[in-house]
Amino acid sequence: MAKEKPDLVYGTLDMLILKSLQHDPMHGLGIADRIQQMSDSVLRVEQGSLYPALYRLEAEGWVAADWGVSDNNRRARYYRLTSAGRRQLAAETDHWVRITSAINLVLAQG
Amino acid sequence: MRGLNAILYRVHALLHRGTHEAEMAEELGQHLDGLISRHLAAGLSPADARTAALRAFGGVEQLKERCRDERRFRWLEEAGQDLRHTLRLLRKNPGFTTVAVLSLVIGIGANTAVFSLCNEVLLKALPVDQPQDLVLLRSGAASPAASSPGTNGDAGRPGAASGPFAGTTFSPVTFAHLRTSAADLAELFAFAPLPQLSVLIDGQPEVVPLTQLVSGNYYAGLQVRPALGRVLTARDDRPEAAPVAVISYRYWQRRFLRDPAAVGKVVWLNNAPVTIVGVTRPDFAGSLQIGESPDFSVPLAVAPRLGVDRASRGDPHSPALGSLRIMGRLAPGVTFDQLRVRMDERLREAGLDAFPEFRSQRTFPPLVVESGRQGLDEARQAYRPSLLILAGIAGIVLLIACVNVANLLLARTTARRREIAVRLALGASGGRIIRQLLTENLLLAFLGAGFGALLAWWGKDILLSLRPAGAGALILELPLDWRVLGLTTALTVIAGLVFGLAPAFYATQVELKSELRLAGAQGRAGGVAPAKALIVVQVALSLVLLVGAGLFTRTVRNLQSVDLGFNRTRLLLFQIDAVGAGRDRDQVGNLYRRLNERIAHLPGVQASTYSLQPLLGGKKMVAVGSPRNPPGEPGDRTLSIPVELNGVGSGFFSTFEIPMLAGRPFTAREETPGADAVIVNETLARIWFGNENALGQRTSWGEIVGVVRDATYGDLRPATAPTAYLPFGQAASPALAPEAKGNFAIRTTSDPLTLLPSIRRTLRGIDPKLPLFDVRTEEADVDRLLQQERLFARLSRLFGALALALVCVGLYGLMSYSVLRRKTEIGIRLALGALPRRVQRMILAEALGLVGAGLGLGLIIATVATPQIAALLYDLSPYDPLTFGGVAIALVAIGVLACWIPASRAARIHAMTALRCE
Repeated sequence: MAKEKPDLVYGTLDMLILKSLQHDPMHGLGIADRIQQMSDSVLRVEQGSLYPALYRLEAEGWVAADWGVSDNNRRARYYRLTSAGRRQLAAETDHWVRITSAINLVLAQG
Repeated sequence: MRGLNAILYRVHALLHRGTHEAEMAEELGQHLDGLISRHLAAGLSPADARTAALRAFGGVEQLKERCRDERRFRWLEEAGQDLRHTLRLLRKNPGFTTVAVLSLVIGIGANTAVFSLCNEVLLKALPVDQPQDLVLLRSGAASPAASSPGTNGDAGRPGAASGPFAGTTFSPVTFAHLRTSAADLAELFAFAPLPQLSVLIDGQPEVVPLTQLVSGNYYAGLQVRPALGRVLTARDDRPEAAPVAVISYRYWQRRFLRDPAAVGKVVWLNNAPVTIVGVTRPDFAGSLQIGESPDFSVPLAVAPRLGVDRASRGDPHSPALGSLRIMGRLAPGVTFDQLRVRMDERLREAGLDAFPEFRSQRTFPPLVVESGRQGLDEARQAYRPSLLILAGIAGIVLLIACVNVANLLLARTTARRREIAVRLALGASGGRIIRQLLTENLLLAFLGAGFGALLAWWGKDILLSLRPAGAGALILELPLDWRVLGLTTALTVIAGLVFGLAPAFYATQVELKSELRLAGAQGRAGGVAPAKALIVVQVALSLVLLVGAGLFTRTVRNLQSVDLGFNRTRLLLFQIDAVGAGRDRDQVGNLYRRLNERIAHLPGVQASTYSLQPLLGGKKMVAVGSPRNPPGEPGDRTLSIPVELNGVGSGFFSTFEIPMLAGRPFTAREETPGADAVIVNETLARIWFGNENALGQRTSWGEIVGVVRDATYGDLRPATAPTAYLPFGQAASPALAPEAKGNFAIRTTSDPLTLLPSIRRTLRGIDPKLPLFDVRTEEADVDRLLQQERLFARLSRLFGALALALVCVGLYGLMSYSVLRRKTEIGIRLALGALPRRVQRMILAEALGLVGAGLGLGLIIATVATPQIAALLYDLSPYDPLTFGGVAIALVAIGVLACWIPASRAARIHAMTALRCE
């Protein structure tokens, strides 16, 4: 496996998780895969960060978890976005866009 | 809303801990399986697939821990776990637990007990509304026949303590004047203690040791409400009013067994009928000196009926009524200064002539307005230095206890390093381990505090019975109030953190690999440095306590061998208060003389006498006198000084064996009133007449007929005061000594107390109803005066010895461990040809280095601390080289002793065995 730098930009994991859940409920492994896939394999979520983050989001009420059956017919915990989570995602995305465009502006200066 | 949501989630998680735990395990396991099957699909073998998945996954247990952090109230749950774990550990090590808890019990218990005393004496305000609005008035005036301020010879004696401060008292005339002039600024009220009132209730006679006269507005001014009946009012304080009294709750409880019918009862006080109208509340003990609780309070106007100013017959400046203390309650918004300025003005307007006690002076003495929140506070202030010293000793004891527990914990932590390493490896964070260790420490501290509070509750009565505050007994209730409990809790938490934090922090500085590999047998060097520091502190603290013990012990010895100027052996003392018992004042001198003559003829009596004042420990009678005055004229004003007076019966000097230096003792004729003779002591003769012959000289009190050697009078310490002795009959005049008590002293041929029955019989033969008070021997009196110094000596010796034992054990343990650790090094040294003696010396030098550092630190602390107790030392410098040197040598000797065994063990190490161990 390529030794690519797997770190996420600090503080963006929550946003990425919320984003990955935007359409369908998913279990933990699915979320990790989804983020990796959506980022063209640049971003890789460590399990060590994923589950604490999921529990944190659940505690905040932004995601909810239900037990479902996975593709290989096993019980799995599926996370879905709540309405509060949707609002949070919108707010964070908005914030992110503003910050990155500002940073780009700075970097673009001769 | 969101915060609430998160809390509810966590509470739910906490309540369904088991389900959540299982769900988490299942979810993570499922994730792992997903990874494995993915690797299998990529063509890896099952074993390799699993390894690869696990590697990608990271530490499962650590991950679980971090997930748990997100899901629940970790700290709450963990605190429970820590507590259970701690209790298990403490149960498993009963020896450690006992020693640690016991150290803390002693430390915290001693501090709580001492503080509850300090709280009661120094901090607490009177139990009335808004005590901060109360003021206390003083003046610098010293009226004749009253003792001057500063000669408070016996502050601790109940019943006497209000007397010695008579310099701050006022006459009723002045009180009335001050009261009217301050009317719009403050409500001024007055009170005066009355010692020893004879009380007759339902035909049962009894002597009440302390009562008081109060102005009618006393209770209104203090804002004290009754527990039963009513308090005294201004209407009760008129000469034509029916005589009434208020009793204390304590007296109501003791004498009337809380019978409500006590209110309305007529009792006889000094043979005058007085009606009890009310009972004060249990927490209110009056506003007199600390420890003084008057059982009867009667209006000032009732005083003439009680005969306490019978002699003066209407003279407002009679001695008993002349010593009013004045307090007041400020009107809202008025400051102390405004009141002082106003009253100073009014006094000046009225002029000196309006005030009997100021008449002899050129100007008014400065009027002082002080806080009255504690009532009369002279005794409280007098107790302050002793209490602070007690608090200091208790504080050092607590420190030593903490150091001791820290030492034990450190040793235990060292032994537990492997356990901690395992827990860290299993995913516990450093903070988690520290929290666990702090839980242990705080639990230890609270166990110590719990038992310590019990010890204090039970020990404070012992503390009081040891008479920590001086010669006299201090009768106090010491409730455990919020201040005491707060201090104890604060001490506990601070102690728990102080003794526990360093070992706990040190414990987490574990290098996992080396610790697990080394199987724990050979610790690393790191464990020794903090232990060494603790030993240094222990040595220093022991030195401070031992120096204190040495200084107090030497002071007691010095005071015991003080030449009192009279023979203190085989002297029986007692007191008779004939005036207080209602006998005719004019007959009192006669009564005492007859009693004395009969006692002198009893078998077993060598000599017998009586005087107005006892020689030691009595309240003093001081008057200003001058020499060289012809009869009826003022004498040499420049030599006018305060002189201590005593009225003595026949045989006084021969009984006490005070040598006559010149002249003769009083004759029988001179004992009758109107005689004109005085005997002075050496000191007074020297001050007044220098080398001139004092005999035949005129003084304020008559012609000098004799000069006697100085005898100690009052306290054991101060330089002998100038003293004049008058014949008893002359001194017991209403103006000088209104109470006219007879203090008898009988020199016996055998044990003085065996004579008591025959003396009582003799007294009954003369006056069947007259009681004996205060029976004691002179030697007991001297001992009583030494009580405080003895207590300090005993306490500091006890705790010093305890500290020394702890130092011994600590040093032994540390050096044994050090030798064990350096076994290989010592083996190499020996193999290379070092002599065993040199090895032994090396170990001893290491130990003595620690002791030396401790001595240095201790000497610095001691030189700062000992000047604080200088006032309590006698004939001794606070830097007494003998004490300091002796203690230092003793500590070095103890150090050598404690290390001798480890050092010789080091010298006996066999080079080959030591090296083979590696």
